[in-house]
Amino acid sequence: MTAREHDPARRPAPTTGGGADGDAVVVTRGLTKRYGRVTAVDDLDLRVAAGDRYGFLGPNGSGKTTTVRMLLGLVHATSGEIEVLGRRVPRHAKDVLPEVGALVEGPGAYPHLSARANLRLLDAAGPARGGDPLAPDTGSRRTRRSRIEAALEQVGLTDVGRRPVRAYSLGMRQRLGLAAALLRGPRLLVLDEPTNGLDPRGIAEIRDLLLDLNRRGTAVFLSSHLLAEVELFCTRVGVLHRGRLVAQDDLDALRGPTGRTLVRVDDVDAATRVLGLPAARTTDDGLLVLDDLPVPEATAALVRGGVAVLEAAPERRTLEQSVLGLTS
Amino acid sequence: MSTVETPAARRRWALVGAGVALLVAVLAGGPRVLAVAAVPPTTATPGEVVARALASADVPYVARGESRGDLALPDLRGFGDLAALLGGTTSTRVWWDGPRHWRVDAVDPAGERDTYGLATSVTTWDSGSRRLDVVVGDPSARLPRPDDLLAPQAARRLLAAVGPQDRLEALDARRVDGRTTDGVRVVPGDVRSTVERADVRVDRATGLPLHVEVVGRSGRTSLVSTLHDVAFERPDASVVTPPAPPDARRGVDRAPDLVARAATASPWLMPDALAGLTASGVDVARAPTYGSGLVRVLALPLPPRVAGEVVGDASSVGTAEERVPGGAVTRVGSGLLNAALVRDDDGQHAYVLVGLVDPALLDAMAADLLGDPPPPRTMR
Amino acid sequence: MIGVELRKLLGRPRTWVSIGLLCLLPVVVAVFLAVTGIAPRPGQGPTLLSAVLGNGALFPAAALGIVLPFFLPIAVAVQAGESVAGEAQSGTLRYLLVRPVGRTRLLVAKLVSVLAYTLLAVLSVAATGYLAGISLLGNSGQVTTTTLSGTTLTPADLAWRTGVMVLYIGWSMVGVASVALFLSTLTDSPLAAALGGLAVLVSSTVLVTLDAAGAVRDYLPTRYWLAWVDLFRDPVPWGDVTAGVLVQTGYVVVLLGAAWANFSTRDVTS
Ligand SMILES: Nc1ncnc2c1ncn2[C@@H]1O[C@H](COP(=O)(O)OP(=O)(O)O)[C@@H](O)[C@H]1O
Ligand SMILES: [Mg+2]
Repeated sequence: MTAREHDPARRPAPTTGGGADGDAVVVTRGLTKRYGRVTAVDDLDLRVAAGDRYGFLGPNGSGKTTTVRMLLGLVHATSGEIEVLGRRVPRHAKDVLPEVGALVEGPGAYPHLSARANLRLLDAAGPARGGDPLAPDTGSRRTRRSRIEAALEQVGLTDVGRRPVRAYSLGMRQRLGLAAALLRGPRLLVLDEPTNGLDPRGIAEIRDLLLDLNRRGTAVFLSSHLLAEVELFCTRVGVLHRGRLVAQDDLDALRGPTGRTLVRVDDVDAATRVLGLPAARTTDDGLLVLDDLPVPEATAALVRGGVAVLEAAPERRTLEQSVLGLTS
Repeated sequence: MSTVETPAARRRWALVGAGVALLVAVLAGGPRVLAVAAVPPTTATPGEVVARALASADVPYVARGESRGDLALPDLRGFGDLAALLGGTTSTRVWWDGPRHWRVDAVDPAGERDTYGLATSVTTWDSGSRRLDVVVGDPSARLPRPDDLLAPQAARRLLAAVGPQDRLEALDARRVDGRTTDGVRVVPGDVRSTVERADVRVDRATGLPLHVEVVGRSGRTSLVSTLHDVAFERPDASVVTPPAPPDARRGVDRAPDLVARAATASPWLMPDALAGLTASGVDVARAPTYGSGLVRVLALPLPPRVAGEVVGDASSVGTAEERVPGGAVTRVGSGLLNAALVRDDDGQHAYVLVGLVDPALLDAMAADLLGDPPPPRTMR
Repeated sequence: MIGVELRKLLGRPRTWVSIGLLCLLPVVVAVFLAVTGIAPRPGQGPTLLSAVLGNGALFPAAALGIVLPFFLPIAVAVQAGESVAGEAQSGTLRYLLVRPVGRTRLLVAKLVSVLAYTLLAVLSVAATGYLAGISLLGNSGQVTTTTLSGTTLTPADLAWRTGVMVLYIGWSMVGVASVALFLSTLTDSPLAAALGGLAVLVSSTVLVTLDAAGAVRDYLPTRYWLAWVDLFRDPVPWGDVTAGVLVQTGYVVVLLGAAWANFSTRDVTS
């Protein structure tokens, strides 16, 4: 958890994408966490730039929550370093966390109190001054009521009234957790599986809310096991597999063209015969796959062979395919 | 839950651990070191120490006392808290102004029994039964009271009984409750005594015995009594004056307990010698003590009805009565303190024999009493 | 944070229910005593109870004596065991810590909250005891209250003795609380922490009565619990009360130190 324990020789060069190190909001180097014999997180080098919508993708048990907890100073790393908003965590967690909104492994609230009472207590527990010197008022008692109302409004919980949280549905609790994360207008949102328990409409609403916040400058670190969610929302993706980061790149790069071309022809068997097998395979749904044959020459050869070319387009991977490729 | 080993965490735990270790060391080692460190050696001979202890009855003091006995006696009706007194721990508070002006509270978590020794009477207050009893005069014999077990009282009684055949040895000087004391060891010369040795520690400045420890023949400590927090000051007169609670039940009597009543009422003239031990003591006719030195036996005539009840109680806790020529004997006691209840077949004579002596000696005395029953006392 | 914890404490129905139950038992006892007029036999029943018939002003002390051996420690242990583990269980601990609330600060606030609860509970029992005693058991015609030593207490005497007793019992309970609070930082189960605290108490109570444990007896947490009875003797022997305060303070300092050392770097995985 400290520089002393981290071997500088292992420190990697900054990964591609994002800005310079100066505007990174999350950086980890060689981050490792062992629970006894289990290595939950293994030598993780994360980099999230300001303004990113970062998708932290991985199957259940891959170490996402553990990483999130380490970013927030809840769990102490076995080795490695963490910087959040440019400061070391957990040493400077006190200065960093006021500007971070977090949702970790489901919401938590006092069941006998209403949403408002919960938020009031939580806000009063925090420091009166936010970490941001430009907004020293972020935690003050004066603005508490309006901040609470604004946060509830953002997550669509304004009309729950005085009912205790005990009577909330799972989705409502999740919204309350999000409201708590938004309470102080954070520069960085760290969300661990935020859409758990939400209905499709709720998921879309939350996504719109997060997009809106991101447009206004909030970086979002979203951990999820749902490919579709990450694909729809994120600009950058880190893929975690058994505690190791197997890929970290822009979303578009991860699902970029494969370099192969798909060609639709009227007679697949004839086409294969014309081009010869190693050069052309067919997919299950009757498309011709060209691996390294240049498209103009191939189409010319096909036309010459009497095969009609209906359509030719570069093949693109889905995120799912890349992730499965990386993690199998 | 798991805790991370970081230098900071280790530092924190080290801090807490060191604090605990220091505390334990001070608490465990401190008193032991203090008891023997830098105690000036004694210059007094054992005889001088004994003499000073015996002369200390007038030293005024205020203290807390604790006595612990492991003389397992059955709980007998009419014998009050005798079993608890000799077989358990008794905590007392003492205000001593002199032999005829003192107060001793036996305290327990639920209440207290306070004894006030005054010029011509002894008053007891029991907070549980809210009774205030006054006993006028000095009974010739009575059951032990909490104040009898106070270290100074017990020590003076023991040392006063020491005879020429008993041996005195000097003990190393040491501190008791922060005060420098000189020690004497009494080793009985008579094998019939159940006492192996008795150690007395006497305050060097005032002569007040602060600690008594009696070890029986089994090698086990059978009775320990210590004074704590001793302040040598004259107690406040108001403290040594019995209270007058408005709603208490009151009683006035000449005899405080069964033994005292039996001693007063006894119609028999006890013999001058039993089993080779000669009678001594103040009131020979009523409750004579036989023997000398540490071998002393109290032989007390009991009304046969009372003796029957006591034997019944004793047998109900597993002590059987044994037939002997002319009567029956019930033996109670263990190790240090032994007693025998003797009942004559004539149905008129019964006695209790008690002493820190071998049961065989009691048997011999019982045989004498049964073989030659004492005659009625003539009016004086 | 301290304010927040106090608000949480006072705003929780359970706080009031538990204190209500604590107060109920002495009232029930007072009703039975008043109706039947049968005092416990001397040396039996709860401490001081045999003295309260016709002596209602002594009942606050007796009321505390009734709840002290059992109910008060349970209530305090549950409250203190709840403090950190309860937040862990409800999932709020992590949100408090990322708010952020410093861990030491959180621990101090929890401690203050437990102290407040303890004081509130002890005072409530004493106050209910006083009201029940005066109204049900009467004041024995004249205003005389006697000590265990048989001397008479003036109302002022009685007031300060009862006050010191409340503080002393409160402090003894803080000892209990610190055990449970420490355990509460070790486990995420409030129940386990509370039961652990009670297990320590029960063991201590057993050992205190055991002569074989004489060497450690004077350092056991419950050794001087009943020393408050000394406040109703005359003159008051301060030795045990002082020793009790010192022993409890030792436990409080050591256990809170351990709680702090543990909690400061503990992984919060709840
Ligand atoms: N407190 C803990 N003690 C031991 N092992 C744990 C603990 N928390 C998580 N793990 C293990 O660490 C691994 C990663 O868990 P987690 O971070 O919760 O994964 P994810 O959030 O990606 O589902 C899992 O194998 C899990 O069993
Ligand atoms: Mg998870």
